Amino acid sequence: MTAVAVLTGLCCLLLALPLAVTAVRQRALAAMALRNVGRRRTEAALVVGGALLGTAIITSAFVVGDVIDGAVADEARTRYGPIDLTVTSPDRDAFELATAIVRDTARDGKLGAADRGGVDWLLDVTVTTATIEAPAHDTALPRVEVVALDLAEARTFGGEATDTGLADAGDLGPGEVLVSAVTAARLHLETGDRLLVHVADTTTEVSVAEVLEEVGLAGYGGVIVAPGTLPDAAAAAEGAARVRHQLLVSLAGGVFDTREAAVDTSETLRTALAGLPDVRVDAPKAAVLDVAEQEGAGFTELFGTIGAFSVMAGILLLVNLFTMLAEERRTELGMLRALGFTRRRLTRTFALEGLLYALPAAVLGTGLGLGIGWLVAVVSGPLLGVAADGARYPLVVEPASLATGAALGLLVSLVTVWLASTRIARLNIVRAIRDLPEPSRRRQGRRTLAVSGVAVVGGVALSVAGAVGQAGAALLLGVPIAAYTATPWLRRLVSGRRMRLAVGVLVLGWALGVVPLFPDVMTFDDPIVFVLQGVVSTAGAVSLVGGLDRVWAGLIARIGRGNGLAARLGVAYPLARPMRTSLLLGMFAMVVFTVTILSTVSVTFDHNSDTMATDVAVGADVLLDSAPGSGVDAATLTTRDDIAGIAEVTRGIATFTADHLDATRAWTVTGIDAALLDRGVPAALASRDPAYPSDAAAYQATLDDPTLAVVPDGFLAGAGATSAVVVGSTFAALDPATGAPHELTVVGVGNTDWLGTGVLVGQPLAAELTAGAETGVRSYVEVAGGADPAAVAASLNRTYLAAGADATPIAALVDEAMGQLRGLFAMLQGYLGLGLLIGTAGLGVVMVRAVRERRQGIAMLRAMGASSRLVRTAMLVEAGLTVVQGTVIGVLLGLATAQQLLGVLDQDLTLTVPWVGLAVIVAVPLVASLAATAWPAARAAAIRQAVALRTAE
Amino acid sequence: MNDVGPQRTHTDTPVPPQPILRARGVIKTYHAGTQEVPALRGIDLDVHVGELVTVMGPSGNGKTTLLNCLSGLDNIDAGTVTVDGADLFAMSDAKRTRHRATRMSFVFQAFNLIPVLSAAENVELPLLITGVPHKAARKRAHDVLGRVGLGDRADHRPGELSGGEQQRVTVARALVGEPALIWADEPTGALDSRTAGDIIELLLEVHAAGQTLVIVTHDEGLGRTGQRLVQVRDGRIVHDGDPRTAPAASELVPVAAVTVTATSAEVVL
Ligand SMILES: Nc1ncnc2c1ncn2[C@@H]1O[C@H](COP(=O)(O)OP(=O)(O)OP(=O)(O)O)[C@@H](O)[C@H]1O
Ligand SMILES: [Mg+2]
Repeated sequence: MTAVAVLTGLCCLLLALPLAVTAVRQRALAAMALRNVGRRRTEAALVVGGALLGTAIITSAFVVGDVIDGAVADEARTRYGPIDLTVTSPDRDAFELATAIVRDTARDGKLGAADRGGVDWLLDVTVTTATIEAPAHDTALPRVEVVALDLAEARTFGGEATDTGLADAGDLGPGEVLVSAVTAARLHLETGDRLLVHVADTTTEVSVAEVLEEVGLAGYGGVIVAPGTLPDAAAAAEGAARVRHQLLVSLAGGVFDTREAAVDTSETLRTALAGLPDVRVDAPKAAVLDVAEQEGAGFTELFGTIGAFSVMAGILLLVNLFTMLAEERRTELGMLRALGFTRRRLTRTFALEGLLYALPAAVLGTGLGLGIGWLVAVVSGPLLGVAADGARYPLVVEPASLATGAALGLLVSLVTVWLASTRIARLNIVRAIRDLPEPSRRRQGRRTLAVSGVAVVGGVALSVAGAVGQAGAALLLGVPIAAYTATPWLRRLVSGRRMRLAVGVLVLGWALGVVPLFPDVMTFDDPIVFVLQGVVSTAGAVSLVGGLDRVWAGLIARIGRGNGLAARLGVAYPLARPMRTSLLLGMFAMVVFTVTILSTVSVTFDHNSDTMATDVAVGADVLLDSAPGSGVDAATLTTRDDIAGIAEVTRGIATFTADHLDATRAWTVTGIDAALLDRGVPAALASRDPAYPSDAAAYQATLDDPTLAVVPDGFLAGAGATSAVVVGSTFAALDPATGAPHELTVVGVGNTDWLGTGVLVGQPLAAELTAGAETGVRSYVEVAGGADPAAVAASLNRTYLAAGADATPIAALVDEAMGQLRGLFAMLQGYLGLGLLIGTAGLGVVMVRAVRERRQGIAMLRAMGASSRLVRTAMLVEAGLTVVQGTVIGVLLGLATAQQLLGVLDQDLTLTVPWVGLAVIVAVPLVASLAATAWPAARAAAIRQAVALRTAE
Repeated sequence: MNDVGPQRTHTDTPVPPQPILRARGVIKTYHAGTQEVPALRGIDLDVHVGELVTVMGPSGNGKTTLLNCLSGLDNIDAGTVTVDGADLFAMSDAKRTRHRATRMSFVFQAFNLIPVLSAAENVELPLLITGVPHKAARKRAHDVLGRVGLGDRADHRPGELSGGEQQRVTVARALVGEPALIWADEPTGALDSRTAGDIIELLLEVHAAGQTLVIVTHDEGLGRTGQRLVQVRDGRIVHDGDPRTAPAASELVPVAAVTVTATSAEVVL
């Protein structure tokens, strides 16, 4: 990130430095540029406004990532604080042996010196998973971690009392407990409330001494008790693995400083403890920080990808603005050339003016991006539950993020400015002074032809290389590059209109056809391919529409009322300026394209939610999670007459590595067995190894062979990226005791993991990979005919409250997950609204400038007797037509791409057209743009012909 | 241009009782900041059907203002202007606009063609504005372009035509709606003398075909060949009638200078 910032910063400097030198050396030029900017304040403000939106979007994508990272990482403070490592065992003897070994190893200095990330403090605790019931409030919470510790010792743990969260906690009397704020909130607890703690068959009555803010140890468990508070329960349930003895290890350094040391030390400890069975070493805080970074990066990527379309729209707007600015200045610049300005000097004069817009735009855009990014994170974070409940979303932003955003935004503006300036400096002096249009050159210079020839060959080669080398981006881009660079040659053969048509058909056809043609290469794994496909198809469609200009003109003339004068005038300018019109169309199409895809995918998912629930339900209706040995077992459950059938699996957390990851990652793993497969497959597969004739066969193989696994969509990938693990990929699960990798090969990839089953492997392997960690039993419950799943779930929860059962209808689980997804889509669409803002504002600016440009023409129309209404209508038709064309292109391409995308995501999904959404997508930009054009149109209508006819200005 | 008429003929149309344009006591004062610029100080003028009136006078003496005010393009401060029987400033702007669309047309120094429309499309505009169906308008446009000698350039855009040709297009545009009155403000001002001669020729032919014209010009030749010359000085009409009895342009210059001095003296006081 820092490297990107420095690099783009350098590029900016390279582009801006010559201008700064010019400004200092030739004050007159600088003064002229300044005066030009100052002469039209409102319009200057509009140009800056248009330019800053791009910067704002780029910056906000980085800021979202940073804030999400910060929010998730905050869990390190609220849930772990001084805790860096945990050494856990359900077995008392093994644990005591392990503790002795850890103490020895630490004393020998093998774990680093105390002042350099070495072991600093040790704390002995017992963690019991219990169900907490609050009779006074009629509330209960299953699977709460009850931590038994010595308060006095705990306060000193880590050396900084405030980090433990226990500094102000008073001593506990007999039968008194401390409750964390989140647990208290869920149970509606207050100080003094009586609680029932259920562990296995025992129940202990305690009272709430204090509710503590979640910080460090106070957030580590839901309830803190003094050792011995749950003596009988612990003894009774020890065999059932509900009680874990744990040694908490704090390393030297602050809460957030020990990430690397923790990973290193955990390795050393694992080796030292390798001989002991059932002892597990974890570095939970480092894992949280890893996840935080991944989540943050995922969000940056997601919003960056989606934002790229808006940024692209911003670039098109900028190009448009500067070209208009340049055209408007033609006579003036021509005069300067006549007075003896060299081309270079002219370029610089004009670019200097551009710099005066670009600089404030970069600064303001970065500020705006900061605000937008934070807002997006604050809204979407809790919506998606990325961070722990009640997590704060502080505005923590890496300076590098802001620098990168500002530098990228500035670079885009500067490049645009230089290109526009260089182009304008090539003007023909005489034509410019007399304000005659530059003739379209049919004959191209030899150099142009040679360059274009090379580019055509290069483009084709790029596509071929992409197809061979499985590089989607190269494959996609090559052909369009060849098509567009071939235009100087094509121009010799056919008219400009035919050429645009031909190129448009070719590029659009390619963009839409490349996915079905090369399904193996175009997998959309890389989001950049998705962005590029949007850009290429939009470019193709816009060229095509440009080539059809005659058709539009004819159509409009026919539709228009009476002799269609307003419509005729409305299309005259767009048709006469194909380049400008294309830029505007592209601007709208690009954004609408993305909004359409999001809306279509979202609606399609919604529409298919029933099928999706069925796909993962294994014929069951209710999911029942409980602890092993809690007494909630199949044998007991099947005796109930509201339950028709049941299948059990065990679930736990395991640690994984893969070649594409630089750190290990924790993921849920579920063990499947023959009984489950008898009922059906736990998840329909989106893709599977062709060696297996059916999904069931692939699952059976996984059950038989401990080196095979089925993974869900998005396994081992960040939040924003699509799955990086495909059929045939290999990854490794780490043995919890020894850390030794266990190689696994993917035989099938499922769809979205609605129920959180994670990686599916055979039951014995799952048990091995989750040994020592808390595991759960999951029962797929099929309710008896006629029974209501929700009622059955409620009844199960009541009956097995003490045993910590948690039953939910599967449809409700899928719905909830779907709701989050819908939230994300809504969020992304809102974010894209920024792009529409660019489009709308851009069109407004363009129309304002258009009025200025056409002042005399409009005045003449009025002199000829055209009513002010006619003038206004013509302007509105012009704007409306541009928007409608742009949005229709965007909607059609969006639907086509959504279809392809859904096919890649999940073959079973049938595209649902979001009619209401589409109506909004078309209507909003249209209404907004008409509103934005209303002012310039009114200005046009109010032009005083007598004044306007006198002077060009 | 052949169908306009082979050569100039004398039109001895008897003067009709109702003039097509009647202006009485027209006063127009510009306000530039705190300063007042009296541009028209009481104009009385009648123009009859079929007349060719040339308006001349030193620069800055109010010729353009006169044209703008008498055609209703600009508002006046006092007086009345009647065109074709209708009092221009007694009606709403919308009505005045409609009246203008059917009764008057203009030719300006800067050709004021719409750059993105072809010659024919530019010429047909006045017809479309008054609601003539498109097909009929296009046919008329082609006819008139033929009359001004541009029949073969109908599909060219203004940028593809020379200055003289562009001005022919504007003349065609002024003729196409068969207006009662054509106003021209220095129609030859942006052209070289030869091309200017061609345009004058064209305008005279148009007049010969019976069209009423009021032309503001600096061109002595055109002024003196016209039927009636109006000379404007310091916002007033100082001569109206036979061009031959009008004072020479050179005689007017010192007077203008005196006026300027007088105005500055007023300001000082
Ligand atoms: N908008 C305006 N504001 C202030 N003064 C104006 C304005 N327009 C014209 N004038 C002044 O009114 C006077 C008459 O101007 P007008 O354009 O009618 O002169 P003209 O005779 O057409 O000159 P020329 O032969 O140079 O075209 C001039 O003194 C001019 O400066
Ligand atoms: Mg004038």
